[in-house]
Amino acid sequence: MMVNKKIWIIGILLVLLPFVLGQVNVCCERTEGGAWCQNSEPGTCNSSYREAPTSCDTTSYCKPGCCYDSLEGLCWESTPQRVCDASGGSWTDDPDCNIPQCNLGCCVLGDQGALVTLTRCKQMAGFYGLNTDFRTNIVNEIECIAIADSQEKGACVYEADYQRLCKFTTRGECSTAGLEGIDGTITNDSTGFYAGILCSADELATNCGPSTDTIMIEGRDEIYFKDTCGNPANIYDAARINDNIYWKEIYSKDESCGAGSGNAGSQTCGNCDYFLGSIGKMATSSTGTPTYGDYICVGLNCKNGKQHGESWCVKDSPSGGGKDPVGSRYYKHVCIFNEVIVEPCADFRNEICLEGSTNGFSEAACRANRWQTCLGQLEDDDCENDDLRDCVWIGGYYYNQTTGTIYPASPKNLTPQGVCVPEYPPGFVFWSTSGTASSLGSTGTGEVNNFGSASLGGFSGSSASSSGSAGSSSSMCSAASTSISVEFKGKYEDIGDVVSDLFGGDDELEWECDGYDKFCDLMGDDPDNVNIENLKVWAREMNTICAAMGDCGGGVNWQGTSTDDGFAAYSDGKRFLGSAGAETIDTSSSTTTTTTNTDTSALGGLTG
Amino acid sequence: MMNKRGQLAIFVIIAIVIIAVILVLLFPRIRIGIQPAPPEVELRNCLSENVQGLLNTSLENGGELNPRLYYLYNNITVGYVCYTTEWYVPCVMQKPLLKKHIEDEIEEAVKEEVRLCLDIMLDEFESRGYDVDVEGDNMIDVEIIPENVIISLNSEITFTKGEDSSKLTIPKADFKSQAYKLIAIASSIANWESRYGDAVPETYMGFYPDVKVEKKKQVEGSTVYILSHRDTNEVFNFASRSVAWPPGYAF
Repeated sequence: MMVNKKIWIIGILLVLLPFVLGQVNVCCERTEGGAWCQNSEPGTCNSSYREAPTSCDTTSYCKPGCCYDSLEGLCWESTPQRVCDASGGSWTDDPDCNIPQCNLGCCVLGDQGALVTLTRCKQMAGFYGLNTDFRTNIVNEIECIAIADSQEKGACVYEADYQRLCKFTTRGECSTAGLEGIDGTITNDSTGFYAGILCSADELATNCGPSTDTIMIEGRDEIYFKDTCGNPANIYDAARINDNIYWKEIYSKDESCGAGSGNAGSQTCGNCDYFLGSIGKMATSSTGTPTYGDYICVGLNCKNGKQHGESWCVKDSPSGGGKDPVGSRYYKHVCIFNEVIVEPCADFRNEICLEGSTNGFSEAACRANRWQTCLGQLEDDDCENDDLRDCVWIGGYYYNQTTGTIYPASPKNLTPQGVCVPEYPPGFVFWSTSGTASSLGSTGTGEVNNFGSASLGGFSGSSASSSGSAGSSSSMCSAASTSISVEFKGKYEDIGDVVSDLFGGDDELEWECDGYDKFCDLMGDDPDNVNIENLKVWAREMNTICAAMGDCGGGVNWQGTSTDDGFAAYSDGKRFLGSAGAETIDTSSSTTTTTTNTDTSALGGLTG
Repeated sequence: MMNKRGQLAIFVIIAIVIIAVILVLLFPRIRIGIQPAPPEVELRNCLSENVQGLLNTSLENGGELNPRLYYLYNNITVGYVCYTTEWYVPCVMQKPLLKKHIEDEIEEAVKEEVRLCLDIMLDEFESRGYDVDVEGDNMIDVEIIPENVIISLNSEITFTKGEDSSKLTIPKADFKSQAYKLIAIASSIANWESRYGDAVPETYMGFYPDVKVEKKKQVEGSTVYILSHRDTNEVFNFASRSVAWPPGYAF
């Protein structure tokens, strides 16, 4: 009987254990919000679908795999089996799609190439009416494009309706039509492929000849002359419009006019180059008019002087050195096609923007802000190791790992005499009382929205859950919270004056600062003459550390709104000095107690 | 002298008008002015317009007409292609076979409009004295291909007038669209998001100069991608939430 009772108790404990230890997640085949296969909190699953008290990875229906689209030849990674089946795909148990059907190769389509699967290549060849040319030995996109571009091109001469016709194409495409290559002298009676020769060549005696018209080719930047049959000829060069050789032989891009530059706005040269900041476009009143034809090289550089393709960082000032204001963010700007595209890095300074330059061409990227390990570094070399983290070392203070707080360094304290803080302070959801990941997830209606004081109310029934709380400002800010109290103790010193002893005259009053030695050093020993300047400097320095921990302490937000909260000094419970040192000291009390601490609630004033 | 010439001109004009009126009355089949398009052409136009409208809506909403799971971006319901509710982990694909997903949804949504388009065409033929018989399910196939969208009606229409009977298979309708390219780029970005939690827009803009790719990271970890074709101004918005980092420490 006793044994049975114990088994019951153990059983109940086992059932309750997960709930005692923390929230149990379930795998929802579909959530109330409409998301497929999510590890979520119980109660967030759509009751019309399956639910399992385990991770989705271990379920049969939500296990991620490779979803293969056999019609398009596309592979979709990390797709749950249930979703793939419902979409009409073919599912394989390999989320990274390392399966033969998904192997990439170079698909050569005329003079263009793409790195795709075999099925995709066949499909694309079908779209363009070409033979499938799939090369499995080339798995590099740049190499593939280069190979396609180097396809031998020339005039494919054929006869139809007793006429000699010509199509400018590749040797492969010409041979598909049953026409063999012709080497040696150009003749006016043989049909076949003439490598390196244009259809407009007089010697071919086809019905194609020179014209004053120009043409753009799909996938190419340059503008080409167009022969009377509509075939592209050489790159448009107004100076050579009557040059028979130029209408006979193929000239490479490097041999053409303005090689090595973009030729933006040139009326006479169509040698545009996307990577040099120009591309051929239909001429308009704003682009200028070419001497011949309808197309002109349009410049792609930006008006701010940045070249096409350049990127750079834009930051809310100040930034770095632990000084990023609350609400600030990093941005990457990219100059593409005449315009600047703004790409915000991750909010809350979870990402920072880094910028470099090669020969005056700047490139920027958003990358993760690695501030998480700063506080644990006890040596300045470790702290400022750029390979591992983004931190700065501030001397004169130390982090007590036992108490978890930062103190001013004191002669009585051992090393380290400095504290390691984030170089780019992270942002917090300091306006949220819960501040958990779940508050940032999706609602039951499926809308995922910005969080903010107005939106937070809408996150009931949220489903994000598993990875702990996110961004509680109090947890991080508390590391820089310090409360130091000192007490001025006064005693009358007998000065040995007999008159005073007999008639009650005052002996000399002597004060002594009792408490944290560093702080007593700062304040001095006389409560009527406390060294305010030292205190102000100390409060500001501590606030600097505090602000470097994240959105903590007093300061100025990105919109310029300031607060004087954060570190403060109190006397007999009355605040007399803020971190900006705005208040005046009141030393009316004979015994002065000075206390300092951080006030996370003050952050509300920084939101702006 | 001038008055006589003016009078003569007026008489000539009046005579021409009278003759024209008589000809129209005698031969009512003579049409004056712009001829209306044949009914089957109007049907094709009707189908094209409807499908094009739905396609634009679908592309704007992340490949769905009415997304259930979406990110509200500038008051647009941008559907997720890849999504996870969790922090730090890569997303789970929500819409594999994206092109097929879009085609299927449009085919289903356009049913009613197809029926209306057909009715307009049949009314036109019946008003000309034809008996019209429609065979088939009146469903359409929408196929998004490079630079085009093709619409095929799975119906055959038989026209009968007296003893004459003829069958009409509605020719395929199509319209120019760069949806295929936009969807292909979105598919690639979705795969990158599911594997790495990020994608680089410049890479795509390098390979496809005619497409503008914008990446907008949102506060709660979602990323909204905006793909727009520079020539056609078609826009494909979609969202992803992958390897999202929470603000601050996760103590």
